[in-house]
Amino acid sequence: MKQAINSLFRKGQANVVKIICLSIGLALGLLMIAEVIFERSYDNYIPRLDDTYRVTATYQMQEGDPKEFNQTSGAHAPGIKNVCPEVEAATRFTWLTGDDGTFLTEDNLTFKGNIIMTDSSFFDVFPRKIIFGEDPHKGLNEVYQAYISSKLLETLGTDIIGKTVKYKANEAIHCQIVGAFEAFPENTHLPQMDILLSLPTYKLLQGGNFDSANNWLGNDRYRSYVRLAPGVKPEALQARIDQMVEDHIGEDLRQAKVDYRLSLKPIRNLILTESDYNRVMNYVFLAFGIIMLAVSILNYILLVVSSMVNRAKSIATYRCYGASGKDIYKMILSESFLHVVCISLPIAILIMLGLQDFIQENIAHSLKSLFPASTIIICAVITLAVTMICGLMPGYLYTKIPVTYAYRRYSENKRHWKLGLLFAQFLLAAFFVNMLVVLGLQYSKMTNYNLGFDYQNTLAISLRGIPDNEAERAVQELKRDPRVAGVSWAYQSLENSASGDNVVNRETNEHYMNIADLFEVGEDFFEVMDIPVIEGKSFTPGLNDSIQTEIMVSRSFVERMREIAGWEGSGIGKEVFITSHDKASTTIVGVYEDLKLGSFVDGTDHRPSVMYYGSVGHSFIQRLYVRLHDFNEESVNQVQQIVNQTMTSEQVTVMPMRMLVGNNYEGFKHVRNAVLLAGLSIFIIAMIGLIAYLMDEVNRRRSEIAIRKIVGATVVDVQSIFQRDLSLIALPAMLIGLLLAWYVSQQVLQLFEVKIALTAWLFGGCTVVVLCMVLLVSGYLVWQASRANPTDNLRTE
Amino acid sequence: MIKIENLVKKFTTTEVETIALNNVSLEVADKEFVAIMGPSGCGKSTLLNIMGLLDNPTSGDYYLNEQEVGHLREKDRTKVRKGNIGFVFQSFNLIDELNVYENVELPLTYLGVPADERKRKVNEILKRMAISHRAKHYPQQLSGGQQQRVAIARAVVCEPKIILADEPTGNLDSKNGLEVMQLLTELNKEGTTIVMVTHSQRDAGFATRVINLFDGQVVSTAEGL
Repeated sequence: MKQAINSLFRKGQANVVKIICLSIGLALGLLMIAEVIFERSYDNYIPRLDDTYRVTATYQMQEGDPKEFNQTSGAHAPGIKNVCPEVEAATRFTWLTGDDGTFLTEDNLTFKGNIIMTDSSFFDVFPRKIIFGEDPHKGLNEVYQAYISSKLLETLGTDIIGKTVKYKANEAIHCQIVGAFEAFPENTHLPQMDILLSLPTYKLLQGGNFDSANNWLGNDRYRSYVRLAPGVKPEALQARIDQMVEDHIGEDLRQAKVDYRLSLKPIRNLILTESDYNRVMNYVFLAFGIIMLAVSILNYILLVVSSMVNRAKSIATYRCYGASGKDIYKMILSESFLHVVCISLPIAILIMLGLQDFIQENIAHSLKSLFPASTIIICAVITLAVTMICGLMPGYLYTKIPVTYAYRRYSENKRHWKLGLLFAQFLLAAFFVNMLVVLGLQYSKMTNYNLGFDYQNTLAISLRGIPDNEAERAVQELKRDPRVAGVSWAYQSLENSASGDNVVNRETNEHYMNIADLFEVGEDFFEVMDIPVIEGKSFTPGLNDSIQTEIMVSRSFVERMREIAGWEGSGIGKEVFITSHDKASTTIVGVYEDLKLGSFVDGTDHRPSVMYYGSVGHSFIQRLYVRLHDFNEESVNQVQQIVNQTMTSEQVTVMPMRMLVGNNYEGFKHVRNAVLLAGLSIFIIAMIGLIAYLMDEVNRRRSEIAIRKIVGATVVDVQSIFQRDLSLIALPAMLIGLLLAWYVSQQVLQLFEVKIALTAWLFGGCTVVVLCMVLLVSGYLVWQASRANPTDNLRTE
Repeated sequence: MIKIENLVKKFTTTEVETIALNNVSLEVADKEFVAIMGPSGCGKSTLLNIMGLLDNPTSGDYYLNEQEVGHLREKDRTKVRKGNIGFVFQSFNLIDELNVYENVELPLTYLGVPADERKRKVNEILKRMAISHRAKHYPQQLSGGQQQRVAIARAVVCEPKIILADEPTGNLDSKNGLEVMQLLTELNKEGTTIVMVTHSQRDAGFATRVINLFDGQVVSTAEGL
C-alpha cells in the first residue's frame, strides 16, 4: 500500500485522470443501480407482502376493449372479506381533498397535508407502528377522528394530539387528532398519507344520505386491498368474488350491458407490473448503471495499458530483484484498492452529495432513502468487484511482460488491447449520444404536441379554497387587463385525464358508452382555450334560460353515437342522458373538435367528451384559465399580481399551462436527464480514453512521424495516417452503437402514443457529430505532434 | 549549391542558452562529397539538420541553389526538401510497421509519383542496393548493414540532388560500413552532392573535402584524400 501511495503522483501514469473517471463512473453507476433496487423494493415494508393484494376492477362496455381500473366501489373490499374466510383483512381508502391542502389548527396555525379517509382495518393490511393514541380499530371507527403521520407530528408537535384541525377551504371538513402512526417509507405505492380520517366521517360530509363507503355500484373512488391467509392463492377466491358481484350488482350490469369483474392483483412490484413504462425504464436504468461502471472500468484499464510503456521497465526491475507474479498482482491490486476504494469512492459520495438537489429532483425522492443498509452492502460489493477488475486485469498484463523485452522497448504488443477498449468506449458514446437526442426530441414532441387546445399561451389559476366573490372579482379584473386576451373557467384540469360517466338510453337504461365528463366550463371557454367549435355554437349565457340543459360534445361523441345508437345527421339538437348528471335531459348545442387529455406516457384519454355550462361561482369550478396576448414573464407577473390582489383567502400561484402539461412528462424528463448525465459522462470518459490512447500512440510513433516528415510527409499526410487508423476503430464501433440505440429507441418509443420518427438522418447525423468530435480531438493532438521538429523526435529515440 | 553565411543556432531552455553553431560560413559545390568532422557536441548534426531543412537557424543565411531557405516555415521547408534532399541516419530510422519495399516507396508516395512508376523505381533501387530479396521483410528482420542499405535506397529513390548522411556507418561493423561508404561514393560519382557527418577518419577519407568543427565554429577545411 505504501508503494501504491508513492506511485499516486508518479508522472506518466495518469492517476488523476483515472481517479476522476472512476469517481464519475462510481457515482452515477451506483446511483442508478441504487435507484433500480429502490424501485424493486417498493412496499417491502409490508410484513406479509406476498399475501397482500389490491382489488382491481375490469370493465367492458357494449362496445370497446376491456379496461382495468385500480379503484372500486366502497363495498367491494369488505364484501370480499365477507364471502371469503381466507381473507384475513380487507380495507379501502379514498381521497377527500387534493394533495397539499391547507389546514388550520385550533391556534390558527396553518399547515399543508394530504388527507385520506380509510376504515379501521387499514393498519391490519398496511401495518405501521402507532406512536401515539388509541387502537386505530377504535379510533378510525369514530366519526371526525383522525391519525397523523410521524412526519407531520414532527412538524406540529405532540401537543396536536387531542386537538381539532380544519380544512381551510371548507371548514366542514374537520377532525380531532387522536393518534399518530409511523410514516410510510418513500418506496410505497400508496399516496402521501399525512392525515388518516375515519371513513364513517365521509357519510356525514356528504349530507348523511349516501353511504359511499358501502356502495356497490358506481362511485368507484376507493382503493381496496385484502390480505389473504398464508398460502392462499387469489385464484381460489375468484369464483366467490364473481358470485358476490353477481349477487349485488349482476342485474344492473346486465341492463347496462357492462361486463364488470373484480380480481386480486399482487402488491409485490406493483409499480413495475402495472406500468410498461416503469418496467422498461427500470431495465434502462439498470443497463445505464452497469454501462457507467463498465465504461469507467474500461477507461481505467485503458489508461493503465497506455501507461504500460512507461511502467514496464520498473515492473521488470521488480521482477529482476525477485518479485513473483503474485507480488506484481498484489502491487497492482493495492494500487487499484487505493484508487477505487480509498479515493474514488469517497469522491463519488461527494459528487452525489454535491448533486443532491439535482438528483432528488430527478428521482423524486430523497437521496437518503436510496441507500438503506441492504443497498449499501450491494454497493460495497460492486465497489469491491470494480477494485478486483481494475487490479486483476492490468496485473495479468504486467505479469505477462517478458523482463528482457521490457528493458529493450515495450510498446508494440498491447495496441490491440487499447483499440478494443477504445472500440467499446466509442460504441457506448455513440449509443448514448443517439439515445440522448432521441429522448430529447421525444420529450420536446410530447410537450409541444397539439392537444386540441392552446396551452402555450394560457395560464391556470386554482380556485380551491377561493370564495365565489373573490373568483368573480378576479375574473373582472383580469378581463380588464390589456395583456389578457381572454378569461374563462372550468372544472377540468385539461392536462389530466377526465372522470368517466356513461351515456345512457333513458328508455331502456342501456349504457351506450363511457365518456370523459369534463363537467362545467365557463363562457368563452372555447375561445380562450382555442378549441374549434365545428358545429352549432358554444355556450352563450344570457341568451336564454335553457343553458342549464345544454351540452356540448366532441366530434367523436357524435360519430360513436351514430355507430352505437343509430344517430343520423347532425348531433345538434339531439338529447342525451349522462350518468352523474341528474337532469331530465340535455340537448346538444355544439360540437367541438376532439381533445387529447392526459399524458402520452400513461395513454391519453381517447374517450369522446362532453361539457356543461357553469358560472364561475359554481361549486364544481376548480380553475380559471387566462389566455395572454403575448406569453412573457411580465404578463405572467401582472396576472399573478391581479390574482394576489383579488384572491386573498388563499395564496394562489399562477401556473403556465405549458408547465402543467410538461409536468405529465416529469418522469420521462428525469430519464432524459439521467441519459444526459450518463451520456455526457461516458462521452467525456471516452474522450479522456481517446486522449490517453492518442498521447501514447503519438509517443510510440514519434520517430515514425519524424521519419515520414523527413522523407516528405506534410502535416496533412501525418494526420491522415492517424485519422485513418482511428476511423477504422471508430466507424464500426459507432455503427454498432447507432444500431443499438436505434433498437433501444424503438423499444422505448413503443411506450408512447405519440412518437418521433426514427429516421436514418437522425441517427446518421448524431453519429457523424460524435465521429467529428473524435476526429477533431485526435486531429488536434496529432497536429501538435506533427508540428514538432522531426530532429527532436528522433533525438528522443 | 549550398552556401551558408554567418549561421548561428542557439538552443534555449529556461535555465541555459547553448550556442550550437557560432557564425558558421561555408559552401558546398554541386557534386561535391563533403565530410564534417569534430568532437561530440561540436554542432555537426545541428549543421546537417539545418542543411537538410529539418531545423531553422537562429540567425544567418542559408542558400540552397541560390535561394534563401534558412527561414522558411515548416510547410515550405517540406516543399523544398521533398525530392531534393535525401537523408541517411546512423540509426537507420526505418519505420518498423512498413516492410522494406514500403519504406523505400514512402518518399515517392509523398511526391505523388504514380503507382506503376513507384514500383519500377523501388524495384530498381532495391536491386541496385542488393536488397531485392528482402523486399517483403520488416526492418527488425534485417541486419544493421541491410537496414542501412534500405535507408540509403529510401534516400536516393527519388533521385535527390543532395544526400545528407549523419554518421551513416556509426552502427555498422567495418565490413558493412565499408559497403555503405562505397555506395555513397558511387552515388557521388554519379552526380549526387553528399554531405556527411562522421567521427571516422576512414569514412572521411572517402570525401573530397573535410570540414572540421569545434565548439560550433569551422576551424579548418581540408581537401580529401
